[in-house]
Amino acid sequence: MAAWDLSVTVEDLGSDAPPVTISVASDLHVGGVIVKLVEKTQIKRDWSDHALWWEQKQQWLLRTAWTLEKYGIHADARLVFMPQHKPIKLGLPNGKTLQLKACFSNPVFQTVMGICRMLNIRHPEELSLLRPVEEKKKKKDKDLAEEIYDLTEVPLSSVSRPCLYNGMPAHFADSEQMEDVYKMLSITQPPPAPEVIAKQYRPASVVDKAHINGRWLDSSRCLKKQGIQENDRLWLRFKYYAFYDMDPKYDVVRLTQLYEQARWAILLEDVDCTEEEMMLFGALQYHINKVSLTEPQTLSSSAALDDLESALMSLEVKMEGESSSASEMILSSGIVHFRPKRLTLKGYKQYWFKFQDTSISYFKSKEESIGEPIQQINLKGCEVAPDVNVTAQKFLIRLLIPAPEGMNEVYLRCENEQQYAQWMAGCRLASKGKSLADSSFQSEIQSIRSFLAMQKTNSGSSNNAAASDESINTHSLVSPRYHKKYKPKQLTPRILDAYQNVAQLSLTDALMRFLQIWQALPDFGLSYVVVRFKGSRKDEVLGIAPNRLIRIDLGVGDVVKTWRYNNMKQWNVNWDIKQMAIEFEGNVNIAFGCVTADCKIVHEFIGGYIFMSTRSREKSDTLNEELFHKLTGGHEAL
Amino acid sequence: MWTCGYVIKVTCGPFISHTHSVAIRCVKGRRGKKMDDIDAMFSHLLGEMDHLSQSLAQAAGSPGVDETPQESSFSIGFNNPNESLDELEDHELDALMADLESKATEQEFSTHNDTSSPAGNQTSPPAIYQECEPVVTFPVVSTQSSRAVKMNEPQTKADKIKVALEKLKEAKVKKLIIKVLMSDSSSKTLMVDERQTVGDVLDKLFEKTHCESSIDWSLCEINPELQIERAFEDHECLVEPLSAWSRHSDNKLYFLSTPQKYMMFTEPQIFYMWKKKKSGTGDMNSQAKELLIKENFGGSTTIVPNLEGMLYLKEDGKKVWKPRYFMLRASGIYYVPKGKTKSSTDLACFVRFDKVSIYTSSSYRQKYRAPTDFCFLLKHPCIQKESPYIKFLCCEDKHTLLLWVNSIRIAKYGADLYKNYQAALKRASTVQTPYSAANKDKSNSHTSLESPYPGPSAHSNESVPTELPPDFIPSPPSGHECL
Repeated sequence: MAAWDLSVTVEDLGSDAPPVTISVASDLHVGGVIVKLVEKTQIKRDWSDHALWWEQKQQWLLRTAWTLEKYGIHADARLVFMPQHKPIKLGLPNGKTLQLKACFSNPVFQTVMGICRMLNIRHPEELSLLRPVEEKKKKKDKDLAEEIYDLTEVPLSSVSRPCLYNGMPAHFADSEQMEDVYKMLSITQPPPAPEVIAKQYRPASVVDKAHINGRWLDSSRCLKKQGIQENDRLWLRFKYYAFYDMDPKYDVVRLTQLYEQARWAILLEDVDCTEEEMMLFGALQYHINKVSLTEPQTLSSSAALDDLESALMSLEVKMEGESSSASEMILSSGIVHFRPKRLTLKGYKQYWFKFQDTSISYFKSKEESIGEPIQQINLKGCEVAPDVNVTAQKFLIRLLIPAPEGMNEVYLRCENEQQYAQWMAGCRLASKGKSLADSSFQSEIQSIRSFLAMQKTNSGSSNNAAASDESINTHSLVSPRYHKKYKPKQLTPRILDAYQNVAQLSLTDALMRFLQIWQALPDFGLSYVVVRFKGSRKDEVLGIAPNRLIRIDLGVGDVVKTWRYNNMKQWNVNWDIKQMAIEFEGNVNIAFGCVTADCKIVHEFIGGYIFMSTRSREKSDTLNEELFHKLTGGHEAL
Repeated sequence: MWTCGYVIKVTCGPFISHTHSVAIRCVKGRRGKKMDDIDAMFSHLLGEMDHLSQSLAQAAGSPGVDETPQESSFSIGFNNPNESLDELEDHELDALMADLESKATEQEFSTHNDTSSPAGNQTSPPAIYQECEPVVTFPVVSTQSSRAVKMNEPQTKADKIKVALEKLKEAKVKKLIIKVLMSDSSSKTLMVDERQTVGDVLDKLFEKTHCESSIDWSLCEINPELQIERAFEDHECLVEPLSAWSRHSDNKLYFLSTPQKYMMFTEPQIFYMWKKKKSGTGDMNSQAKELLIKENFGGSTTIVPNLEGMLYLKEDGKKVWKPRYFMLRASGIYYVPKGKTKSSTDLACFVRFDKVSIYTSSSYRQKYRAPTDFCFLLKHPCIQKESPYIKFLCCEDKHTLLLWVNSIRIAKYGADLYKNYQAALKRASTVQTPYSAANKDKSNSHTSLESPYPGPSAHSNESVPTELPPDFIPSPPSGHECL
């Protein structure tokens, strides 16, 4: 067979270097071409990751046994010889950027698998890559170099088998630098400054929310084919809102990053919630931040053991309280001003108060406190609400005490911050049926005081936010809507109110609670796409959820139709006219064209969710990649 | 400002230190998978207390007793003769309690002067007697004393009881004797302690009534004053809500078949596809139902039906019922304020569920001039009388009421409800053979009352009455009697 010249650009020689020309015959297989090429360059190095890319056809020549003829390559072919793994800048759900080597030659599905393996995230099928939203950068910001965590030095082979070392994957234990990267991945970020939240893009409508979904990369094609270049920026996000088998023991990074994604979804109002829910999310963020500073890396300890430990601890505290010093049985007494609601006009009256177990009793004076109290109030099951203004030195505790006739409303006015913190902590514990001897008493006092400190700093200057843990600006914890509605110090008592229900949670429990409340929101898990239904002249929005599709009429602004996947008989894509047709049981047929996203993306969403629902405990160890591609690939799979 | 003025009486010192050692043993035992039985501890405690014999009032609760035992396999070992003696007395005490209960109903009438019906076993005495309340128990004790004199005990039995009752109070394990009414207006009496769940009590009732153990049975609290009722959830500890009843309450406790109880699991489509009219949801196959349950209860989060619609609200203290658009979310019930949209950020919170329970009402058209009789209300369990803190809502029809009441239960109890359902299913399938099941299902706290009986000592004792309520002896199939 006749020999002809094939010129190949070898990327490693530099962009200016001329193509390397080698003499080949059409029956030479691709592997032979590579050998010849490597010989010609006379560079000794590991070429094993390199492969040939066919520029015109936008195709990798990965089958090294195929001949040039079989590939249809002639002398005019522009071939590039380059590594299959190249560095990219990866934006993580927590807003940090990671530089790592990603596979440019395999389908994105596998690229994501590789990335997740490196980052130690289980169930990579739930995540995917998307093109980032361009940030409008001011000139000033450009100068500020963003911190990039570098993982490009991690040898690709070392991450194939994750084994834990010091509680983290071995490749993170190599150096201090790598350990820092792992910390960034596995520990939640501090609340962002309010300005940072305000600067981010916030979708204002359901149509706005739809735009992000046009950015997902195609899972069945490789990065190179989708025009991604070396050092390009991509986002890694949880795409399918069906989080399988979340186990804090193994899923430290997964849990942390999911929390970060959820947190930003709340802060940027990507998913709607009510004001009450926002306050609870705020309280949880505050708590998570606080606990992660004090108990890092304890995610993996066994919960059962913790229980036992804490039981023992509280027992010890109780015993101490009883045996060593009898004085601790009544932990506080003092002058507190008291006002039952019925006597509003009379204002506050001063009494001597005693706190014992879960009850408070009050007396005319300290001298009479040995005798019978004027009244004893059991606080178990009561509602405790703060009414505090530090600048005005107002320290009120509002108690709603259930009684057969209704709720008794009682106000306790404390003289100063310290007294307030102690009495408030006592009331809170008592309302949960815990006595002051409980081990959490001191930490409760502490957290109340740090909240008070927050109010103090906020009333001063709001610019020095997030300087320390004690002075979080409450605007960092809620969406910008509430920045406008409330001042930071108005938010403090509201978040504090929600905080009492979560203050005792461990870090893991708090993260899980955050995710649970997020997942319980009515709009959770919906990915929107603007579509045009067949026969309709206006744009409508299709919401894709883990178990159903919904149709939102933009005129009505509400869900007008729901179709569940389990009623779905089949779905088809017409790639030419970019239309999807779905048939449901009972002769229900729908068809629509996609406006804001390619119909491959919509197709992949639906197929992907059906794939997610096929996962089961027995099969969870191995990812059925073939099935995923079958369900999501479309014509690529053929 | 912080002064400490409380001193425990010195005489109590030894006792307190003793309970500490008990408490530690208890915890250690759990760690080693071998649990010391709480009742053994308790009886040991009783013994110790007898030795000390004085100044019980200051024993401010022993930490060990708060621990809930996890296993009841512990057979009471008699390491020390005193303990066995005390143990015996404890049995007799139980027997007596039982006796009191069956005989002394009339006595109870005198203390609860609000119940009438002088004779016949069809009367409905107050359903609950607070055992540790002297007002209730003293008259009872005195009737027993004549009989107790027969005992060759240094003290009279009545005194023993008195002391023991105080001890019980001290030990802080609250026990109640409850009277449960049946739908045929017969009743059963049993003792529950605060560690027992409603599910445990239902188990006992299945044993006693020999009724078919289906998942539908509930214990319902009925408040005649407010004309409301609520079926307790199986995981609730029964003593707690009952303790909220006021002393002279007319409230009653019923053992009823409530087909709605687990409807969200038997007919999930009614709740999760409520928007589809009945025609579309009626014939759902079991596979599709299972999928719905898995989707909404199987994950880490319980999904609450996204119910919304017009309900009538009785405004605080007013007689009028105003229509409002309400929406149910996991975090509470919200309403759409006037002139606002249904979007989440506009919603106003009407009520959250952490402090309130849901009740259904009867005849509110008459009582409160409600638009329909399909009303429900939300209130703190402690509130027993009409109050502005009660939220009254009224639905258009029966089906809407069913949707709201049970969806609110899902929102309030979440995963607990599903666990209860699974446990109830299990119970219903295993309790086919009453005897084996009865032996297996004996609750932890129950062992102390029951286990001694097979022993000959108790039966040889004359003071043990022959017609004990079946609760206290392994009941023969037809041996139970109504009070």
